[in-house]
Amino acid sequence: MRRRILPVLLVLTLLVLLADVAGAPLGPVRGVGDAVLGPVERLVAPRGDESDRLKRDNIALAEEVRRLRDRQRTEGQAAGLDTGDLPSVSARVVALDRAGASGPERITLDVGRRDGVRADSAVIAPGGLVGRVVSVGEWSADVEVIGAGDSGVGVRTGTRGVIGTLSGSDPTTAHAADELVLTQLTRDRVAPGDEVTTLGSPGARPYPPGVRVGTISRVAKAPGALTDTAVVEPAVDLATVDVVAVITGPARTTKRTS
Amino acid sequence: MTGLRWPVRLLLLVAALVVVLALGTRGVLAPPDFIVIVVVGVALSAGPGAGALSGLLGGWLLDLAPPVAVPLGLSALGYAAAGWIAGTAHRRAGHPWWWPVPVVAVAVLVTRAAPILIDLASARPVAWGPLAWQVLATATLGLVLVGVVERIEAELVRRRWA
Repeated sequence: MRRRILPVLLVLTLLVLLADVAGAPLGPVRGVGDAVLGPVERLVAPRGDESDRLKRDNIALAEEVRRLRDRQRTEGQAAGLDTGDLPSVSARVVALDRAGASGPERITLDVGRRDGVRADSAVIAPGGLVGRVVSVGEWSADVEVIGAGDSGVGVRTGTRGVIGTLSGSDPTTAHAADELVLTQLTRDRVAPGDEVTTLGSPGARPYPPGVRVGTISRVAKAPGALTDTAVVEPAVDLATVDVVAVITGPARTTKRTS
Repeated sequence: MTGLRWPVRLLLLVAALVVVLALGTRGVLAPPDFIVIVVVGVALSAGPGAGALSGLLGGWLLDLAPPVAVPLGLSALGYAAAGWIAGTAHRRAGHPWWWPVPVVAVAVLVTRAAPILIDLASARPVAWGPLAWQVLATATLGLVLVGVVERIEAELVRRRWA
């Protein structure tokens, strides 16, 4: 009996792994981790203090500035276009992903469904964009950080707002594990030092427009390529990210004007 | 699987997980892998089977701790492999004092092999610096802590609690 336990558990684990890779719904299994080990993580996380309150205020003010700037920019382009109001809830990072070899791809926040958090909500730190919520438990939420996996983020670059796609890696560009890559840029339109902000998603989900993502550190001009590729220094250092805001509210509160 | 041996091993794995989680939430991106240390301690005391089973349990704890791993079960299999390999270094007549250092280093590398291969296959840059630090720190701590786990295992046998 004892000799059979290990092979049986190994086979079960392999089946779970294959099912997860195949996209089978393993929500209940993941829920076990959230329900049992989530409280442990919140228990061992550092306690909040005065600096946390200041960070929360800082995020709220930065978000207000971003909203006003975005409204100012878009008013000139399309008067009457509705940008909606995006309420948020503040949260703390209680765990970092330990699996990825290229650095954390996910983080866990101490807010969940009961706090109004939904999947595909943007997560913003004082420095800029952290990522988007990919799974929500009752009391916690997992966030996929920008550049993780194969997902790309539409962004604007520099004062001219050159549009590109931000991702975690590009086979043709050498960069460090903690840097991001910006591809499909119109040639000779961006330079090192240019700020990168979100383009914005339909209905502002997952990403509202104008959130700072990072700064271009160098531009790679591949000979013969029709577009430029740039390496981006992320605005948020995952090693120090602590207090964040999750955009919880409805993206648009009134219907779009024609 | 009678007596206190497996409850104590599970308790040690949970304690190791709590330390790893506490370090992670304080900004240590590549903390020393205390779970590997416990797994190697069990493996060097009881052989490949016990090492693989404790690795499987420790890997599942890591997989299920939020943020829940993607894909689920990959860490469990990696830690089980590490426990099995560490168990092959088990010596009935005892081992030299430095023995846990290379065993822990190899075990950490085995647990990281699958994520590294996945990242290399998808052209994602691997964070070699933090990985090297993690191997070095875990192996150094293993020099002391693996011995502690082995002492606990031996004490359970001596008191007939195993």
